[in-house]
Amino acid sequence: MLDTLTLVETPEGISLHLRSAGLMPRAAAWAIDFAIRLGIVWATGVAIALLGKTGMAIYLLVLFVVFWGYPVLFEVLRDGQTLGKRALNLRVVADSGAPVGWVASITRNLMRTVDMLPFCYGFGAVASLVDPRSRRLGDMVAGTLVVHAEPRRAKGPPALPAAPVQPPVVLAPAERAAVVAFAERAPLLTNERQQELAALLQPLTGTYGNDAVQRLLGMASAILGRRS
Amino acid sequence: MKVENLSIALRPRTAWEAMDLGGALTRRHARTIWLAWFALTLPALVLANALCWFAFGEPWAAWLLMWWLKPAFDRVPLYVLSRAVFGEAPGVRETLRAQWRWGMRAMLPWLFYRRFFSMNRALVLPVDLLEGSLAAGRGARVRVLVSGEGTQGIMLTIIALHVEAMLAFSLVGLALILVPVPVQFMGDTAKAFWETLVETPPAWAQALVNCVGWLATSIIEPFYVGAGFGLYLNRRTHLEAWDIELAFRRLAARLAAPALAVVLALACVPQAVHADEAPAKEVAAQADDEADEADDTNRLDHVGGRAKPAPVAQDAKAGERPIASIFGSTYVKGGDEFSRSVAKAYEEPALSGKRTQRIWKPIGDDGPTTDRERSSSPAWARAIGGLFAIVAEYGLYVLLAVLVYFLVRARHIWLPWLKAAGAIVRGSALPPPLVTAIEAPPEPDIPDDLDGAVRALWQRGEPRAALALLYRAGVQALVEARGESLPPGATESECLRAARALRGWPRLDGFVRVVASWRAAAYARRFPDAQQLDALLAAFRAGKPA
Repeated sequence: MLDTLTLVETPEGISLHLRSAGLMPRAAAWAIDFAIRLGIVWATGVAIALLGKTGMAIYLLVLFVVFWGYPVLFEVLRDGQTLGKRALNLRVVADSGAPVGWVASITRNLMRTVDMLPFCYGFGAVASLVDPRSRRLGDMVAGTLVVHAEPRRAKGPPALPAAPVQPPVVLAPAERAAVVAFAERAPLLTNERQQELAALLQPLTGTYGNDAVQRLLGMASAILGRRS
Repeated sequence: MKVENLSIALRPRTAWEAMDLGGALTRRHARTIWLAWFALTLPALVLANALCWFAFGEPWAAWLLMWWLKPAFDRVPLYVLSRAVFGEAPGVRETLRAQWRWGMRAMLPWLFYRRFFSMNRALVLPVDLLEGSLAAGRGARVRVLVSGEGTQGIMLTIIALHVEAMLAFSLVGLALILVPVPVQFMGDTAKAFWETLVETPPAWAQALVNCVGWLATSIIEPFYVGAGFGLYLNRRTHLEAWDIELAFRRLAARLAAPALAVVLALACVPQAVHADEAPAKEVAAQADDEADEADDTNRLDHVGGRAKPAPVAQDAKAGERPIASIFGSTYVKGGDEFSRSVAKAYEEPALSGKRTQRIWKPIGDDGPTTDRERSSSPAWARAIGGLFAIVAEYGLYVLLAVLVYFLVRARHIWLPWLKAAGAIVRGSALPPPLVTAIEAPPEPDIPDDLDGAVRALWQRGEPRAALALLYRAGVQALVEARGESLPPGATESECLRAARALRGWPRLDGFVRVVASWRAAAYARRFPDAQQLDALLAAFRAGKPA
């Protein structure tokens, strides 16, 4: 089964799945960051133009901090997320799944000088397209990974009008999850598709058609812990 | 379409994650995709350049033509991916053969008006090429797809466009890095040549630019199509709940297995009886899932609670009575069917107590072997080796004996040293101090005939000693005048201060001059000449009490 997951096993024997992010979302996040940084540089440039040579010194300092400090500070202090990565819900982590540290973050951002070669991230883009975990050269050196973060808002349980029906057999966790997912996503499906799916579980529901759909929704309700 | 044949892990993803899945799919089938891609586009590139160069005389138009034809080229990766996703990855030959006919009707609008207006090609192209929808229903179908992921689809197109341009510039930059042309320090002719190349490029340079653009397209386009296909699959997974269909199919297959059918038959569903006929292989296939969840007490509840009460068998053995008495009228004695199911259940690997463990072993490693076995050298070589070993071993013993002999012979060297060390340890004597105070030689007394003595030293060529004598005489005079001694180690300055503290000391002036000349001699090696010495002696003598 092809997937974009990277399996990381912790010393406690727990398997973590990191969903590594590819070139497209990372390019979008970089573009947002670049726009923000350009905006900052432009705004300070206008303000500082009035200060003469002192202003030039300050301007150069701002330039340095914005282009080298911005990613490092955001990645280490804001949980691996620059503003662009936050907008795309991406996150930089160590390839062990741990939060990224100062050394790793500074390394991966200094390595941008290599990734930028020969013109505007040519090497970085090709490396990220070729690598199965979509790392650019800086990520490979620093041992980091850009992953899709968990969605920020967790959905609450769906509102189910159907009366709870206890499933006649004991269901495995994955099967229970499938029944609940059916109930959650039923409003997004056409009625025909709902009936088609419910018909697959005729051995469980014992009926066909709309009754089967209602019975499945009732089972989902019972699985979610509702009692009539 | 059979969802269970899909070779990708199904779960509802975010749009960006779906693009990454498409990228992974492209990477998995990279060989077929790029071989077919180059086989199709390389001749097209040559044809386009030849056409535009020789027919129209405008080589740059070939780039535009290649760019315009991109939807047609997109069919290559899409063909491979759409087959491979169902586990039927086509070969290069098959892919190329398919390009003659596959999706040609759908290509017409894509190569004309949609080339201008569609920003969502990667997402929508699969609708036309894979679903073969009619013109009437197409609009609604595309709207459904685009309503969920259209924004990300457009962003994907914009990103791919930029990456393509960036890669083209990168290729040029790479060439400039590798070609040693010092642009700033070129000669005039070279500079002029360079300028004409940039401003009015010759045809071959334009053709070269076309090739660079085509290379950049070749790198990114399959990934672009793959990402769009990932979006398409994800949208359909959301719309049609493919992942749920897959889970339901697995659940239905498990329920159809006979081991559970017994329970079901007793529980509530009368139709499930026919499931007994399912082959035993399926039981084994579902065994893992089932064993995890098999909660015996629960199952017993269902059996006991819902089945019709059966009378206790008349010929029940005495040993079974207690169970029957505990469960009363709800106890059902298992028949042949039940015991067969139990036996079958215990044959399943999860319940049998046996476990298959797979480990990797190096080929040819059949357990531990001794060193002698492992060495492949012949017997005579081993004999020579053994001889060397014996010689070396006894040679070492001989060497040890010689060492001991010489140690005993040399005992007169190390034995006293050892004894002295022992004595020091026993007496706990301290080692002598490394640094001793250097005693200054005692200073000669001041002679009565000071002038004579000073002059004598002066004549002998020791002006420093002469002035030192004079200074000491001055200090002694001071001590006498004060009536008490100066603090030990008093410096010249301290002596001067003490002299000035003596109010009305008549020899103060002379003393000051003596100190000054001594200082000049001692610290700067500046000595007075003969006349100055006379004047100094006269001044020092001036206030001398008689």
